[in-house]
Parts: sequence; structure tokens; C-alpha cells
Amino acid sequence: MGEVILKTNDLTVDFKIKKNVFGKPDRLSAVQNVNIEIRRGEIYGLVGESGCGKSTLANAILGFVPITSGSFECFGHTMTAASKASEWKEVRRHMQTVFQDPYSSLNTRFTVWQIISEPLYIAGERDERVLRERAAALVEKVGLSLRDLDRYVFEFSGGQRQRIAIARALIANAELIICDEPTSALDVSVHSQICNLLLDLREEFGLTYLFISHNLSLIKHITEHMAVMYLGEVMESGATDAIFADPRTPYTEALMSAILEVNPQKDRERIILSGEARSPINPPDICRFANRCPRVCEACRTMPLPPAVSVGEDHVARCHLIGKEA
Amino acid sequence: MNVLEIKNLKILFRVGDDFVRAVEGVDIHVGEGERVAIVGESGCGKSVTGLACMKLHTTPPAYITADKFEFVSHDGTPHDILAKTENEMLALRAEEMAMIFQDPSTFLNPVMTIGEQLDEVFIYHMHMKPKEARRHSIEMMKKVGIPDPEMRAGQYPHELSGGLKQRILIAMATSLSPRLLIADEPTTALDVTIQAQILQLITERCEKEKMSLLMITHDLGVVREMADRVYVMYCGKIVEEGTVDEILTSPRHPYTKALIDTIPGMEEKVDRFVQIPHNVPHPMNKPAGCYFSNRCAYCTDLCRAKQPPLFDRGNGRKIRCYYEVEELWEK
Repeated sequence: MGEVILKTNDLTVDFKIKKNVFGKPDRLSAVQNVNIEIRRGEIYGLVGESGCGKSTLANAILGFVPITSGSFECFGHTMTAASKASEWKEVRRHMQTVFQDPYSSLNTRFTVWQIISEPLYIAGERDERVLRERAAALVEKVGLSLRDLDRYVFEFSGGQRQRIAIARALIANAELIICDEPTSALDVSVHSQICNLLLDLREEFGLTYLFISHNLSLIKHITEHMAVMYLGEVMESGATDAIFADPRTPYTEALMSAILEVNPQKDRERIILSGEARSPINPPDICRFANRCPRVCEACRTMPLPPAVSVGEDHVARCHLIGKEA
Repeated sequence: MNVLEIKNLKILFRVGDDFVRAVEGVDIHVGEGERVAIVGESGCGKSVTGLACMKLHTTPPAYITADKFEFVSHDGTPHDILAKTENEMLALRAEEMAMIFQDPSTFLNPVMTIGEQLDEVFIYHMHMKPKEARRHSIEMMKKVGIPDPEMRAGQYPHELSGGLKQRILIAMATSLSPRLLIADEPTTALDVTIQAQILQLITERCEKEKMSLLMITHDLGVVREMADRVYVMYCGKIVEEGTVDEILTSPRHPYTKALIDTIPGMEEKVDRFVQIPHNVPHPMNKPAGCYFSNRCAYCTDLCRAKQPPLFDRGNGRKIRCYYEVEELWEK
């Protein structure tokens, strides 16, 4: 396994919500003290339900939303809330992103080659012939044809649009590709096409992916490491195989039991959680999952979530119950 | 006895001077107390079929024909849905058949409180006084597991989460114990843990009120969880029909087989995913023969030339494919 290329240190993102002109704004805690490590060449899965902060974390790493506190180290830079725009620009050279909805992430007034080569244009390449050549070199790698270069996106289906978005992410030789739910807007029969494409491209270009998804079975099959988020906090992280073999927090257990099995011969025990996630606005400093947890104890309701403890090789979890069960 | 029986349903949409054939000759029946699923990808005509059962299409642009479109109400009278006027349908909806939708926020009125919207069902259909209606509404909200219903009744839809809104829709749809509940992707917009709750609630409500269920979904996991029998649709046609156990364990149509294969099992880890090549054909530009022929791994000249009929293989199993599948899989 390669060296660590991205490491977050207590990365926190808050949003301020103003009720009115006067008074103190409310604090919406989107990402709270997140520590993850991504190694070169791996696929790192980030899983959680909507509103758990997984996209915000990705956006903070890309510099789309400001960091509130904490930092992350990436390609030799340490990025904090105080980092300058020039530094962000330098870091972002190494990163690209594929968004969830290819119907809104591609400019409908650009032709395909213009879309694909835009990152190069932004990086300073102005020669149209070069831009077009670079785009042409990539389209066939993502499963489109050279004839598609001069077409507009409305002529393409969802799966093909996602291929265009992937080509755009690759053109400027980014090393870390952040995939924010790249398949969830697509038809079921096209899912595997896109996943296989991402896997092939990783082999060919030696890419690293941060793969955000709410689809646990997908995460299980393609990632080497993963983190489970709930309301802004990472509950459990480590090697994917270890987490699936032995989930150590009640939330991860519940999430895994909620995967619907297709094969009628297999039956798993289901844990159906009661209630819904609490509001992320001004959260009390206790375990954020306490109100839904089937195994809640006194400490969960009164004390802050303990720091991550190692529960096995390459596997850490945060829960009051760890150590108490035995 | 069948609650709903549809024979040779065709639904066309007018687009400019042309027609899109959204549904091409579909036969569906739902027995009393039976849970039936229609599964397919977007554009296969599954939602359009569901809406047609409630007569929620407007003509134009939709043109609907069927040899038989019969719904049997609680008292045993058969109704020909296609011949009904809008006023007659108003009497059937909610009391005899009800529907829940994918995106609950689109189907709640943003300027009315939750309570007022639930009351309407009782006021219009049961001719109750507002106060009595509200009592029933609160009762219903308790039945679908909404905490603190009195407070929620005074709130507006934007103050509720997606899961709660879906519970409200289920409360509305089941408050008069209809005979048939049509659920169109009821959990697609929800999180997995909330999905588990909602599926459990729908099952519970159907059992308690003895409702038949027509579940429309793209998720085979939901089919397995919720249905006894399933119709697999592709490009406006049924390609396979049978019990859920049979279809999920031994699919016989190449499309069904491919759909199941694309979902990797949870036990062993795979390096690559099984994929179906190409895309779903555009509805105005379907292949000449079998609609799946351009993506099918077992396609022959016969498939490309002529559309296969829906072969009856006995025991309610029907397959739209020329080949017995066991011989295909071995190739």
C-alpha cells in the first residue's frame, strides 16, 4: 500500500445560520473532528445517510466550503482555515471531482471536447488544437467515440454523461479523484458499467479515489478502506473487510442490516432503527446517535463521544460501549 | 378473486406529431390481499401503468386503451376504470384505491397544515365535521407511528423530514382502508435506515387493513422484501412474470438474469461488476425485434427480426423469450 496522500486532522466544518439580523447565529455542525487517511492507489469509501456531512467533507477538501477548524495534509501542503487562495489553487491541481448528477454538472452550451478540456484551459492551456487533441485522447478511454467530441450533452444518456464527467476529471492528470455518489443518479443496468470504468481507469492511470456513497454493498466491493459517518462525525473507520466482518458501533450494524438482500434463500436479521437523525443545529455535546441507538446507555446521553479507539488491526471505532461489553 | 385485472393495456403519449408508446400491451392482475410488484428501470412504463390504474393521466397527451380494465370494489361490484368519469373516480379514490408516491414533498400542499390535509379525506369522503375529522386524523397519525401527532398536525410540510412526510402520505392513503394500495417507488427518495422503517410500515398497514398492494420499484431488494409475485418490465412490455422466489432464484429472461447478476452478493468480494452493455433504447427508437436484443448476450437472428410473444410456461410463469433459459446459460 502506498504512502498517505491525504490526511485530515480534526477537520471541522460549521455553517452559521442566522435567524434574524440580531442575536447570535445558530451553529450547524456539518463535519465534526474528522480524521481520515487516504493512501495512494486505494479507493477510500465514505458512507452515511443524507445530511451526515460526507459531501461537505469532500467539498471542504476541494476548498468549495471554508474549513472552520482543524486541517488536512495533502500533496505536501497543510491546508487550514487560514490558507490562501494561491495555496488552494496549488492543492486543487492534484484533485478532481465527479459529481452525482451528470444532468446538472455539465455545461449544456459546451461541446463535449470543450467540457472535457476545460480543466486544462483553466490551468492555462489556450491552444485549441492542443485542448482538442488531449480531449480526443481521453474519450475512447472512457468508452465514447471520437465522433462524440463535437456533440452537445443533451444528445447523451445519463451513463454517457457520467463518462464525459469522468474524462473531464482525468484530463489534467489529477491524482486524487473525489467521486460524490457517481452512480446514484443512473439506471440500475448502467451502474456496473460506470463502476467497472472507474476500476479500469484506476489501474491504467494509478489513480486514488475518495468514493462517497450511501450504497453499502457498492462500498464493500470496491473500497479498501472506509469511514462510516453519522451527523458529521466518523463513527467507525478502517479496512473495509474488517468493518464488514465485525462492525463495532451500533450505527454501523444497523446500516449494514438495512441492506436489502435480493436472494430469497438468504435471510439476515434486520435491525430497524426507530426515529430519525436529530437536527445538526446546535447539537449537544453527547453521542449524536444516542436518540436512535438500540443499545444506548447512560454515558451516551451525558458524555461526549469518546475518541477513536483501535478495535482490531486497521480498524477504529468511537462508541461508549467499546470495552464495556467484554 | 382479482381486485384489479388489466388486459392488453396500451398507453401512448402524443409528442408533437408523433406518439411515444410508453406501455405496449401489458396484462396485470392483483388478487385479493396479494402483494404484487412491478420492477423495471426508468422509462420502462411502470409508473405510467400505476398512474393509469388511478386514472390520473389527462387525455391528451395520454391515450389509454385496454381490452379489459376492471377494478372490483369492497362490495364486489366491478368497475371499468376506462369508462369512469372524473366524478366517479373521485368516489373510488381513497375509499377503494389509493396511491403513494416517490417524492412525498411534491404531493403535499405547502400552504396547508398537515392536519388540514389529513382532515380533508374524512371531510370529503365520510362527511365528518371538522372536529371529528381532526380526531380521526390524529388517530391515523398515531397508527403510522408519528411521534407527538397533535403538534405535527399544526405544522406545515416543510417542517417535516422526508421520512415523516412519507408517513403522512401513507396515513392519507390508508385512512379509509382502500382495497388496493399502489406504491410508486415509496422509498427511493429516503435513506436506507428510514427505508427499512417505511417498508415495515407499509407491510403492517396492508396486513391490518387487508389491502392488496401494487408495488412499483426499480429495486430488486425491495421486491424481495415486499411482494409475493412480480412483473419485470422493459421498454413498455412485460418480459417476465412469476413468484418472487422463482424469479429471483431462477430468472429465465436474459434481462432479469442480467439485472440480478449486476447486484453483487454480500458474502464474497468481487473485483469487477457484471455489466449489461449499452443503454436502454430511446422510447421513439426501440429495436425492431426483441427490445432487449441489442443488449442481450444470447441474441440470435430470430430475436433481431421478430418480437417474441409472452410464452406461458405454466404455474403463472411467463417469459418473453424464444429460448428456454437453462440452455442459454450453459452456452
